[in-house]
Amino acid sequence: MEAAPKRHTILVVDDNPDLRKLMSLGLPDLGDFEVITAEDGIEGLTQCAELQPSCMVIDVMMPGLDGYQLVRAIRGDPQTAHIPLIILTAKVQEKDQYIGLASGADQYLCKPVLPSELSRAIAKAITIGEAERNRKQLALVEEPFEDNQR
Amino acid sequence: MDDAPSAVPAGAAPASSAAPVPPPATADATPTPTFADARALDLRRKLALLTIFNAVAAGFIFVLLLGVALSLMHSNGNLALTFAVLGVVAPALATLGIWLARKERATLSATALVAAILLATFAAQLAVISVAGIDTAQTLLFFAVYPLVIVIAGVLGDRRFIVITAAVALVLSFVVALALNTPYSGGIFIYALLQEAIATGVMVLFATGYRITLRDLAHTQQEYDRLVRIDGLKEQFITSVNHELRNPVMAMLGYIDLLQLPRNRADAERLALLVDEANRAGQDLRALLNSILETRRMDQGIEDFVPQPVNVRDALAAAMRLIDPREVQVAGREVRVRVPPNLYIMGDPVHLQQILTNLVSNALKYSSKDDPVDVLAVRVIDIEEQEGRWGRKTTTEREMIEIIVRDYGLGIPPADAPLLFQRFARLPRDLASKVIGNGLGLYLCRVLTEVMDGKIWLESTGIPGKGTTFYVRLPTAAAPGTLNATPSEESVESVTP
Repeated sequence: MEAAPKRHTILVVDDNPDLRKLMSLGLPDLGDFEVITAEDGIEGLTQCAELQPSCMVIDVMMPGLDGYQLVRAIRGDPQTAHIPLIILTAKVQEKDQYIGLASGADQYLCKPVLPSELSRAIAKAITIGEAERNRKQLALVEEPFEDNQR
Repeated sequence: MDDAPSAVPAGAAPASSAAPVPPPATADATPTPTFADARALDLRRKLALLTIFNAVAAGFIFVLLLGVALSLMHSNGNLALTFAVLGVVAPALATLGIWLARKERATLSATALVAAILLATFAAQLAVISVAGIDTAQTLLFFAVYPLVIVIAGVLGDRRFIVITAAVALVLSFVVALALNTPYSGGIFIYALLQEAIATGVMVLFATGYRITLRDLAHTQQEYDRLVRIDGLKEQFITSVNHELRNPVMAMLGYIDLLQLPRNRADAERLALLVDEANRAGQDLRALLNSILETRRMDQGIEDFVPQPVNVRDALAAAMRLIDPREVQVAGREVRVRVPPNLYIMGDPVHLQQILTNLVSNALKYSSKDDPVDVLAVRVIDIEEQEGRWGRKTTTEREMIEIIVRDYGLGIPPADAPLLFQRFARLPRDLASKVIGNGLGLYLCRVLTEVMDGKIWLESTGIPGKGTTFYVRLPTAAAPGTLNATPSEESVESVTP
């Protein structure tokens, strides 16, 4: 796999302007990421549908649509259901973590998280997401072949 | 690939979470019985007793009087008819009492019960006298029913109910004694009077003790509720501080993390930018810590105050002086005050000042320089509707002072209105603007108002120019030294600080 890595679009949804700035500044330093930000759930949802990002980092406590609702909405839409989703939140209780993962997020990270840690988590989520998609595509290819055999 | 240390990967055991877990919120603690519950239980006990007593009385009177009527049928037709009618009317009253008890009308039900027994007893006594002439023994036997009725009244009603029942019983005993028309009538009446007086005395003592117990229970309950509320607020505070600290800490650590990348250190411009951002995040953190300490200090003091009459106008004047000129440009702003001089609230002067400082300073902060700010205070009757145990609506009315602070600024979107009284709540548009604030002012106003047994809310359409109106209602107090003799005179004045 020596081919040049694809540039990944990361959509960060957080209502805190300082953190949006940190991620726009920091993440591109740590990987081949292009960072787009949204300041609330609604904007996040529209941007997600438009941009089809490689991965999303989502805060929970936001005005309008909260993080959990946003995750559910993205997972509910076949166009966006495959996108790896990372919840990044100040809600550190176990029950919140449970709700977050149950709503369909791939990872649940508790603030504060260093940009280097976050970039590793993003890379991991993207890798797992791609592997999952490849496996599904493989299964789709194999199926008609098996049918022909019979 | 090793995962982030403070990250919780999907599917990991919860114990591996590196993040500290704050104590759980108290909101969903086990429900504790309240004084309202105690009173409802008391009412339920009474209603159950009323149902049983009424049923027993109805049955007993019915059987007894119809029995008497049957036995008299051949000897005295008129008397038999009287007893038969009584044997139907009195139980009917008691049956009505059962129905009233089911409708939760305890006092009316008790009245029906007492009336049924008294009617049956009294009428039976008169009937016996008219038939048998002077039958002292039988009449004396009947007199024992009167104190019994008083005891029943004591178990089921308050002191007034006991006294009224006793008075009626006494009058009836007197009439019976007169009807007996013997040389012993006076003695018989005194005998009945003594019995009834003793029963009344005992039952009034009982009811008084019961009332005191219930009242003490109410005080204990109120105190308990207050402490639980304060405890809940503290818990909430810790949780929100925990949340709010995480963002600036993450920003600061994040920039330092980026500074460790050799690429970033080589680029002088980039280095300066990151250092600058890290520094700014640190400053934010310091400001947040300071404001948290400030609220903490305020929070600690709020529960310890002795309620006293506080003049609203004086408090407002003091509050205006306390507005921080660094935050709000007060000079040249028009604040229209319409507060009668004789309005007093029951509470703490410093608390009221803080509330007014916050509200007026907010009104000035979030409206344009040319718009005025109105401050009004009026006496209102506050009607609160509560749902009782059986879905019955009860309303409590009390006189309160309503303080209104109105600005003509941008307004607040109605959806965001309730959020604003939470800690660290700020509107997105304010976060982006240059207006200084930490999202604690309105939270403090709410806590201070609630501690003084008041309420606070806001009305706004969110339409720019229509502004926002804040309402604070606090318990009213009589002016110290006067007996509220002066009629409220409204005065309008314009203050330009």
